[in-house]
Amino acid sequence: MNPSNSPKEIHPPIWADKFLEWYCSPILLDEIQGDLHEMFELDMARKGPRYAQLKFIRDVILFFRPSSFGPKKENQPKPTVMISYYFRIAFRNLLKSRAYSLINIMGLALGLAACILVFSYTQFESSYDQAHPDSDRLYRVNQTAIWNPEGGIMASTAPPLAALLRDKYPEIAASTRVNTPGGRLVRYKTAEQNLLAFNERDILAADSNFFEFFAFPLKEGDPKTALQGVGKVILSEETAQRYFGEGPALGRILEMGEDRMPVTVTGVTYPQAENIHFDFDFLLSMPTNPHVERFDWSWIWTQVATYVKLKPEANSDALAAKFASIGETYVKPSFSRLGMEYQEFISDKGGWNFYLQPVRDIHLNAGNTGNRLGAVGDMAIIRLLRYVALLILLIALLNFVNLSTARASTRAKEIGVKKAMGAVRNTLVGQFLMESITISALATIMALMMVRLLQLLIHAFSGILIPIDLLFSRAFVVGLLATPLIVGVLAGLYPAFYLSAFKPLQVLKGNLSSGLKSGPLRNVLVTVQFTISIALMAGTFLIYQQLNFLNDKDLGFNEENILVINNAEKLGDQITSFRDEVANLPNVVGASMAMDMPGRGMYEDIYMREGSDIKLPISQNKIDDRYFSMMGFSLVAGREFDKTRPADKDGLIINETTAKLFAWEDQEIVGKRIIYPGYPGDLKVIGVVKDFHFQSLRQDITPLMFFNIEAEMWGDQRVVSVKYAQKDEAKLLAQLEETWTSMAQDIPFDYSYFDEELAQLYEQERSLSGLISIFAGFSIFIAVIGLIGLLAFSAEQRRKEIGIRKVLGASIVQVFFMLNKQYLKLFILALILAVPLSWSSMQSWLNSFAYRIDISLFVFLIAGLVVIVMSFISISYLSLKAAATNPAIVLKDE
Amino acid sequence: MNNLGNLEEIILLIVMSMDGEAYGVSVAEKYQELMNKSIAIPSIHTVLKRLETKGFVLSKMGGATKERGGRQKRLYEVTKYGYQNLSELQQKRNHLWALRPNLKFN
Repeated sequence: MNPSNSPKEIHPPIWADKFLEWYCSPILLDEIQGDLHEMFELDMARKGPRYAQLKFIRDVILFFRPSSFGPKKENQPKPTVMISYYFRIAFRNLLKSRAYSLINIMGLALGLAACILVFSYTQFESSYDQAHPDSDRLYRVNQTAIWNPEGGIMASTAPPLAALLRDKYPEIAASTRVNTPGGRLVRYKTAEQNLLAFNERDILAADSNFFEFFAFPLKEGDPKTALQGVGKVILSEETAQRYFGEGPALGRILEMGEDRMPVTVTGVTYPQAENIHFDFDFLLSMPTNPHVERFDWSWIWTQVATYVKLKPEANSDALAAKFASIGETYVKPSFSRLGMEYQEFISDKGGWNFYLQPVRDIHLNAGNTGNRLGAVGDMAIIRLLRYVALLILLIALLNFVNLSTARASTRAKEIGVKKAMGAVRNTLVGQFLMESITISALATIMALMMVRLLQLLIHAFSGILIPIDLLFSRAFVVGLLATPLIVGVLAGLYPAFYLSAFKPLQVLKGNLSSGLKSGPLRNVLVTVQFTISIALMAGTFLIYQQLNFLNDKDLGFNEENILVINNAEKLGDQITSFRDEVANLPNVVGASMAMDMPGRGMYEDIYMREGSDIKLPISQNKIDDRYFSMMGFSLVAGREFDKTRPADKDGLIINETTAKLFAWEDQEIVGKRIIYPGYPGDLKVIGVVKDFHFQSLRQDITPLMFFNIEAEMWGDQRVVSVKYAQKDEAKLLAQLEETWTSMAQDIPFDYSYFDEELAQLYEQERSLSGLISIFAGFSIFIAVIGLIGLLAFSAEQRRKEIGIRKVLGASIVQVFFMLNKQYLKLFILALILAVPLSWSSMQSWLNSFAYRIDISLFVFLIAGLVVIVMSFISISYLSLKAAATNPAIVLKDE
Repeated sequence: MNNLGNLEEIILLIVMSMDGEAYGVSVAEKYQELMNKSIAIPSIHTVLKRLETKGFVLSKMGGATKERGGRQKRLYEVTKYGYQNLSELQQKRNHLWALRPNLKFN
């Protein structure tokens, strides 16, 4: 036999072999290629190389089919199988390390619950005025704020505007007006001849097409006709119940105001939606308020809000541009009737302009325009809430990352064994992601259960009741289903890649620590967590400090122990005798009457001084001769009102700011004249009061003056304020009410505590501080439990090290310090980082106050100290336990 | 009960007869010896895989030999289930054989 022909020398065709190796899955290659080669040898021996080679080629081609491509690796089950396996492993791991799972789930749940609530709040706040018919075409007409010396934009307009817009601008389909007639006393005589009387505050009047604009469905009455004609009223459901109980309301007659004007109930609304930018108890037909018609010609009687509905094709910007001519064409002529100069009136205010604002924007984007008919939302608070909720979630996510990477060594063996068994990295990543997704799914469920609790907590702390019934919208459910995925992947991605990167060989040999000990990332994340916590804590402290400052600030008068009895003008001529009778009650120090109390808004008008053309908008009040001594104002010049001097009727007491702005020197003020066109007397300054804060401390002190209560100046409202000796209120109130009823009969007795009223000026700040303190508490809680988890783990890991240290003579204190000093460094770093973060945001908040505290570094120190001490207390148990362990127990295995 | 095709049955019988030594080449050889007909290795593999998914046989990776260039073989052996199927089939056959009349062919 020729050696070259020897069977040993003949190989299957190399290209066919290579082809087979290329397409065949490595798992199957051995058996297939082996069989083919073996067969080749057999065929060679039997039938020669040619046959064997051809057969080999044929078989390689026959094997070229999907089943040979197969999986790339052995033991690689189908993905669907793996998911249920991942789940099982995830649950086992959760149960195996319960404390750790609890920390993760609790933290994430708190963060998610905060996010859900904030989402819900945002959702609600942005749902305002969406329900009206054609709400996308509804606009409110705003105009130049003509009463403001510097101009600006206001939401109040004059009666003739609505008709003018509707008639002259074809783009406008309809227009309507809502007027605010102010509070009235309303009486109703029941069938049993009992008299019901209430001071109604929430009264509006509207044009008859009101219901074509706004979604207030009627439970009773016909929306088309209910507001037509004089003397018609639509009540809210609660109001109707207040007067008529469960009986029908339609057709009943109420008596409004002092002149007991009869108004017929023509409708009752269903409970009114909260997400409309106004609500009402009484909605009068427009002609029921005769002033609206009387000022039909006036462009300065800005007592209505005007709304327009555009035609579908109209462009609001183009339309608003056409409003530019209204001032010259229509407003200017009406000024001749007023005896005022149009140009002079409007020149400082940038022209008499009109603007369109989408009704949907009113609630959140009102800006300084405000809302004539009710409160508006605060976009800043929403922004703040969003920001803070996300920070809390971030802290919780960081906990997850920290704990999973720290605990890596416990998982290392598992990972090593899996890898040795042939698991690829993707499988492990999938497994770890599934674990974090499982944890966040559990956290989501827990968050949903916590939402209600949190809602109550926030309500208790801040007074903000976040509606949660919107939670069951479709968007929310979809979001909720996606949450575990998103949060799980966010939290788990880094740990998954970190853990799955272990080299099986090293891990199984036990060379793990080298790769794991460093954890610089973990330090960064702990620092971030505590930076956020300390910043929020410092923010809370600063808000509280500012609130205390506002409460404690000397306002320039004494607000304690004063009761204010409202609506005293209803007593008519008897008001003086009421005051005197009240002053004689036991426990009462003094009583006084005035037009109104400081802190309740202002009555402003424009005045001139004699001998100069300085015009000044001055707030005014009317007071009697006892007001000064009761309130404890101090005079810098002149005297207070004196009943025995008849000339004091036209006297004025101005504040220092007024004197300064009128450029009067202290000595010469008394006796100066102030000019108010149309006043039937000579207004002379008799005294100067030391500046006091008659408005919120957000504002600077502005000009103010006191008229005599007898002065023939507009402003009929009266209050009687009562100073009493100590807070035995129940008895005093009973006596006051008795005195009131003896004179006022059916008029309801309405009172308030002056100091509480002033405190209410800062309601918003109090809400804010409540909210921030809750969230700060959360963030600290989550960060601290994360820290506990980390420490528990490192103490466990370092058991032997601690044992050896103790054997070599370390004391418990030294070991305790050793375990914690690493964190102390991080805390100090966090404190340093938190300062600028908090500083800048608090600075801008504080700048909204005219009177504010200065931020001292001390606050940050305290906040940092509080957080650090809280953390150390929480972890001290663990540290002490680790430090106190008997080394013999730990080291006995060695 | 799973259907057992003709070729499948024969190969299953071969696997059973080989007592754990059945793999692609040995089965092919036995088949050729028995049926006097050659069969391609890919066909054998297909049938063996199918028998495995049906649960008639089990496989494991087995020893490498020099002829295979050190590559492992996949060794097949019959399962209890496979055996039951086969014997049931055999009993039916036997039964039918027993039922046959006294055949006289010219």
